[in-house]
Amino acid sequence: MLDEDVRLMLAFRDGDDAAFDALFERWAGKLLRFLERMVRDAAVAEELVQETFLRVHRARARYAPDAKFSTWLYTIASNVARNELRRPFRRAPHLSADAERDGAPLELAAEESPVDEIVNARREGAEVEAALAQLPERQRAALWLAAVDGLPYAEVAKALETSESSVKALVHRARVALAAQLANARSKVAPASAGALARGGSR
Amino acid sequence: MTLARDAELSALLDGALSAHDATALRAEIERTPALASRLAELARVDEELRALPARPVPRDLRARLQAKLDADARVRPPLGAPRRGAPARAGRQRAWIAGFAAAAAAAIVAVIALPGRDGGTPPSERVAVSPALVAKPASENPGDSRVAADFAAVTDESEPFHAQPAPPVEIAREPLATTPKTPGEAGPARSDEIVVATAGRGAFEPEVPALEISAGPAPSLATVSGPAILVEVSDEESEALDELELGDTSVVAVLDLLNELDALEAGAS
Repeated sequence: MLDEDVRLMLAFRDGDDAAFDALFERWAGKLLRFLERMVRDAAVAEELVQETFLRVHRARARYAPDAKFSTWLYTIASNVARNELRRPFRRAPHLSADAERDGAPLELAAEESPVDEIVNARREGAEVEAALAQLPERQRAALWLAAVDGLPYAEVAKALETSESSVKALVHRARVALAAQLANARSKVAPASAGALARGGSR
Repeated sequence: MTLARDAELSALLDGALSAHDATALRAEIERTPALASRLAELARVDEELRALPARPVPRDLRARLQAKLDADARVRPPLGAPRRGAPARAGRQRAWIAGFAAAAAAAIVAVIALPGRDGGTPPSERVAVSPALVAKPASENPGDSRVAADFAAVTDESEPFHAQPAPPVEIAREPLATTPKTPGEAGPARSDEIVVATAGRGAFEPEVPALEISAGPAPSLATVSGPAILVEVSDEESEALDELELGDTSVVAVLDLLNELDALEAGAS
């Protein structure tokens, strides 16, 4: 029995445009979240989601269901992200609309004042987002695909064009680095919070 | 906690251990509080990642994509569709791809040569990287049409090409013990074994050669074939190289290697 995504892609290949819409509905959100973490820029990530689907659209006539559709899609997405990251003169990344409104990308949080740190730490997911942003591109991709999107190592390996053993190492190193960074960030924020509260209380 | 134990715990979280290994590790975790606590620490990373707020897909994203698709349809037929003049142009396109690949190889040389390595710790060894890229028509590999199709899809070419992993990219490493960095300044002695990496390139990313790092016969820098760039690396950077999956074949992109090195350099400065 055919995987639903493969069925849709085959239908699209054979001329059913509604199947392409269905694939977009099923995958645009996941791709957007993956690409946001890769390029750390919400607007660019949206462009890359479009670029990924544009390539799927262009390649439809040659699609053959000998790999999982998700693997194929993530391979294309990983490549468009990689191309973007290697583009000269990239603008400074802005992870989210919130970050843009605040006028500072999240990865600069470590250089901000203690009060800003506390505010950022309270913002949902800011710590882990900032820590993730500091990982090397490949570790970030491998960890996201394995831990968040739940792809088996074999699929991550295909999407990143590497070996399973390499994926295992990338994911492991990423997880250990994130665990350490999060522990470190919390140990810094806790005393700063206490200090800020003490200053506030003395007024 | 050793790195090896962390790696096992990480693989356990991803369901990547064999049933036998997973059962054995779970039993050990039950007996060992330190292991259980480390597993919880690593699992918390996953929980926090999964709990990150998911921004909804903008309502107009599909419409913006459609505008691009419409514009695209005006300038090109879908891949695989017969195109007027395609057979006559195939040879030229292949030649263009090969030329592009050669230019990309040159660009990679430039990128590798460019990063400033004048800060941080003094270099202790030299690394030679010799990139080479080949594009081969898919017709010579009729059994691998999917790779060719994917390659064509990603490179926007209507003619399929098959990526060939030859000739190799090589990395050779040689301690700088006898090679002064600058006249009169000898590098620290190192007795690392020299490692060579042969490489091909991925089917999807013709611009970037993938390096297959493997333990192998230890050549000197003089044995690196083809044009090579020399990069002097510090002890820390050398350790980053050591972390690549030696002995067990793995693949990294040249620029990922450099990213790792640059991250280390940034961390050290």
